[in-house]
Amino acid sequence: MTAKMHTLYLSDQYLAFSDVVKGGLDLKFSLSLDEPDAALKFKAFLNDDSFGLFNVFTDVMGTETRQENIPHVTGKDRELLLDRKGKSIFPAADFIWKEHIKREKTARRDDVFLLIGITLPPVIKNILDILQASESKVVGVYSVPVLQQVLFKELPCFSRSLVISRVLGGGNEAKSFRQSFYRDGKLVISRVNNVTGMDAGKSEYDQLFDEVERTYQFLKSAKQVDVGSALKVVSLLTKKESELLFNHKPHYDIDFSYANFNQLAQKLGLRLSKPCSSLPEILANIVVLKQLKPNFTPTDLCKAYRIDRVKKAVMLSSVLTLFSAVIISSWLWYEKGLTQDDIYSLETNISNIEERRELLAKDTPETELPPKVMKQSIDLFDAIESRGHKPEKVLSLISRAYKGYHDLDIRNIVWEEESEKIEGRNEEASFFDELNAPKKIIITIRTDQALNTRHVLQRINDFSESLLSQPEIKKVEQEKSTIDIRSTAKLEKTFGRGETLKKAPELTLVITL
Amino acid sequence: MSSHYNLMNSMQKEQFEPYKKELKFAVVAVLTSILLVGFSYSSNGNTFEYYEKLNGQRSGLKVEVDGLVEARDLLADIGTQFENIKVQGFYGDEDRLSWVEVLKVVSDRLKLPNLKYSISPQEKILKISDNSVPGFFLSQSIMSIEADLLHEGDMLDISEALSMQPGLFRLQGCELNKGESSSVYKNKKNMTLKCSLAWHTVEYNPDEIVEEEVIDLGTETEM
Repeated sequence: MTAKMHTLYLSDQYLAFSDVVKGGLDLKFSLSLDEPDAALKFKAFLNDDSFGLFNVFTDVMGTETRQENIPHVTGKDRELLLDRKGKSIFPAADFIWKEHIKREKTARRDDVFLLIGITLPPVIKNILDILQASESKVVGVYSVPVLQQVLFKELPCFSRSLVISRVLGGGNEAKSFRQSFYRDGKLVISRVNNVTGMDAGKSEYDQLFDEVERTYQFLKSAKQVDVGSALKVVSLLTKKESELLFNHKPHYDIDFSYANFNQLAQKLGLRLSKPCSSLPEILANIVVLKQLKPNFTPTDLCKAYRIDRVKKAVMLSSVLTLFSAVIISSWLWYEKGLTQDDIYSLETNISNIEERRELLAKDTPETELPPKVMKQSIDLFDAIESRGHKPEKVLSLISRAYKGYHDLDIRNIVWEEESEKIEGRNEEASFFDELNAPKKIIITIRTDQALNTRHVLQRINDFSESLLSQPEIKKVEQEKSTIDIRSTAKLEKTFGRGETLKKAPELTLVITL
Repeated sequence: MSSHYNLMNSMQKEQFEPYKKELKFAVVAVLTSILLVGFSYSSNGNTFEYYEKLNGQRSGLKVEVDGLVEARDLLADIGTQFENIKVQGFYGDEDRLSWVEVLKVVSDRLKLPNLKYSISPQEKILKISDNSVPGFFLSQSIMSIEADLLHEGDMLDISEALSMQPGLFRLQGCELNKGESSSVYKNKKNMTLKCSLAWHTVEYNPDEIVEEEVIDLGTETEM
């Protein structure tokens, strides 16, 4: 829930309290501070009702302006330096506004600050004391001359002009006007003039015109207005007041213009339900609409608001913490519920598996060794047995192929695991790999010397074919031979008497199983 | 010193005085939140822990059941084969004494002019296959035989006699060489034989883990 907002306007002689409503401000209470029991009336008003948040606007005569150069320092040092400077320039000021304008580009490259000292009259101090005593929630204090600078962000045409506005209050006999001169959008001088109904035969607006001329002379002497250029005066008064002011002999060095409040409000984006009649009203609406930060937040005056904010922040944090805890806990309990469901199905599943295990355990006879070990032993036995290549197997194999070739004399039989497989054995090779490695049988054959070469070769070829026809044999190769008729080999033989002395020719067959 | 401390204390108290109610509420809210979340987290954690435990138990049971199914199927498949190979002396300790005894008997019976043998110390073959059962070991002892034979039949007799002995052997290599001249006289060398046999036995010892004893099968094939 958003707290109700109020504005409290304070000038030297006038107090106005308004509620912030949709479409502008609604005046609820006003008071002339010249009345002797003004403070009591205000106190009674505060006690009569309960209020929300207060924005206090001051529009007082005691406003002094200075632009000061200070050495370029940052952080806390700058704050201390500015405080000291402000107190030395405006020793009696209640509020000091400090605003950085620019940094010099030459010499020490100082920072240039705008300092505005605001000295409150005792009657306003008394009103603020009443506010503080009633523990009203004051958000902060705005100064009309300081706040007026926001206009130049929205309306750059005012950036070097003398703006004339009404200070509210004063009744019909005396009126107060504020003259504020701005250069490059920054306040240079701001003064309040009180004018009375008829003074020395002059009307209020004659007197105001004289004050404007006086200000012009001052600005010229202070070299704030360029020689030969006219002073631009913008009237932020009502249309009638502006006409009365402009209805004077032409002044070649003063150029008057009039800003209509409604047009100004439109340009500033204010959507007001009823037209404004003064600059303070426009400024209060801007503060509310754009939620501008207060110019001053005096510790004691704003204490109630600060405490209220901290209280709300603590309460909100506590509620958020509790809420988060509830959300996290709910999620954890929800997750627990899901896990619990899984547990139920898991327990059922386990009970089924246990039953099956019991049945299987009954069906499976107990053995001395794990069945896997028994199976592996059997597999190993079978593998060794089948790939063992025992002599009876090898000789039986050769004798089957040898039938009908007894003219070929088998001299030597060697069988072994393939040599390269044994010598270059891979470290990773298993025993089964070893068993499955190819086996070789090498047969050395001696032929009959009486046979001619062509016949010998034919017999050897036939014997090779006979070997290959055995299902266990994969390949038969002729390795060494004394009769090699290939074109790439050397072929020699002795005929005659020397032939009988020589050994019969030998051939080697390599059989791969 | 004490008065300074008291002053500081009272200042701090004053500072917090306006927020007393809110701070009390905040403390209660934070404590309640911690308790609520802590209790929920702990309860959830216990449930999840129990779930994990059950999951582990189910996995263990599944492994057990799979093992039992496999064992049942294996036993049905194996039948009496294992008993047979056990009787043949393939499973258990090797009986090298019976091997040498039979060699002596065969040599005498065949009246061989010469028979020489040697048996190497038994060694374990660590890597039997890629999926061998841990604790299952295959051992081998290499037997080298050199003999002078009268004819090829003697070799078959020796092989047959050894095959009858406990254990199982495979022939790593063998060379049968016929002499230049043959004779029909008894005790006359007609052929020479050189063989290398690997005698194998298996055993199962789940408590024994052999990592270092990796033997090189290639070194004992020398004839």
